[in-house]
Amino acid sequence: MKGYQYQTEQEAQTAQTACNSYYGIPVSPDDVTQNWVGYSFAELNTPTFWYIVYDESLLPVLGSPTEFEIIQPDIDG
Amino acid sequence: MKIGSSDISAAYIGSTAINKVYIGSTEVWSSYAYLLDDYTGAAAAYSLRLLRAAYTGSAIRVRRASDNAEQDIGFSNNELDTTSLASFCSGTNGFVTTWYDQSGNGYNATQTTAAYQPQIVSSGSVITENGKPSVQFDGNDDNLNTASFTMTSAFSVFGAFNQTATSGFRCLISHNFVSAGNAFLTQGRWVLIRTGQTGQDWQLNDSVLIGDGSTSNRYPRFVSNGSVFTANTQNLVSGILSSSTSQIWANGSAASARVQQTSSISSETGKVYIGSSEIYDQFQGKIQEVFIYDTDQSGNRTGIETNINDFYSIY
Repeated sequence: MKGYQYQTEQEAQTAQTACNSYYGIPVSPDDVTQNWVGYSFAELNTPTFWYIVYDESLLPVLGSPTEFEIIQPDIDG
Repeated sequence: MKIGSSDISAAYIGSTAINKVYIGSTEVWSSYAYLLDDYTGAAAAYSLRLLRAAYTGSAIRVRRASDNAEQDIGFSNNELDTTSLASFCSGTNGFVTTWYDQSGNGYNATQTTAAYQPQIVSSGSVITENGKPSVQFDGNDDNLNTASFTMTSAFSVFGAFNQTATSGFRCLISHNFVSAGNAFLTQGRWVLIRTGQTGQDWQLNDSVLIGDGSTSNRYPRFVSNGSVFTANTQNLVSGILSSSTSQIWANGSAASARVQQTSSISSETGKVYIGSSEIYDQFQGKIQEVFIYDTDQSGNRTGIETNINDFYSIY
């Protein structure tokens, strides 16, 4: 997948905060929308890491994304 | 409203059909069939049309892309107020932050992250499917989810959708049981569409699945024998899991079963996700309504399907 990888949750949060600041989110504290982008934990990868899924709106804030694989659980047969 | 002991099914002024009758300012009759008034007891219900006469809330809350402001959008003549929606999102995109629960239980489905919000307006135009408004999920990360609540002895699902994906698991709706050591719906209930991949019987290529848990010792569950929903086409899905029923219906017809097992179904607590199974299996396409009961709706199924099809003209 295309996105942004981080070694720690703190790094992912910092990237998230930068996106919120760039886009002025939240507009109002009462708004439902509280973040511009979310981050996830690649719990099945070795080593584990945190990541943000690429969206073109992130380019001016986070720069060019990289390609990496996220291991997803599968349904048991 | 009745004349004598007979229900009024239609009303006319001269030869012109009318939709509502008022006494003073009070509506005493409507030709519109409120689904949740006829088939009560939904656990959660999300639609772009009005499902209960007594529901006074909005349909959705929308964020517009131009300035990220948000506004509730209600109903007009029992349908989404597209005039207000188009006005609010004039010339820009609109995204759903909240799909309000019309069941009366208050399980509103929200998305607090902008990038994960499904879309309903594109460049000022309301997104539609077969002439009716629809919520478009990107198949990448979009979903709406609720607070946790408990589902009890059954799981009945009904929905109108158009699925565009040609690969992967695509989850229409799920009720996740979340606890330590229980990831990815190993327990919990869901409706999945699997497309374009081979696999074991439980992972059958081009199938539709409804299940209570994803491990081989979890029942009831149903896997269709091949594809039953045509991609890029509006469809009506009905699915029921209970101690006596495990079945998917596509546009009113029962899907043939590759796997069909019934068993007792346990009470579980979790969040509802519309358009994903938590962070996986993102639905790609449009959803116009989806609602769930925690009771076996086998006796009401055809009536519910008729109500949905009468409104959306799916088949």
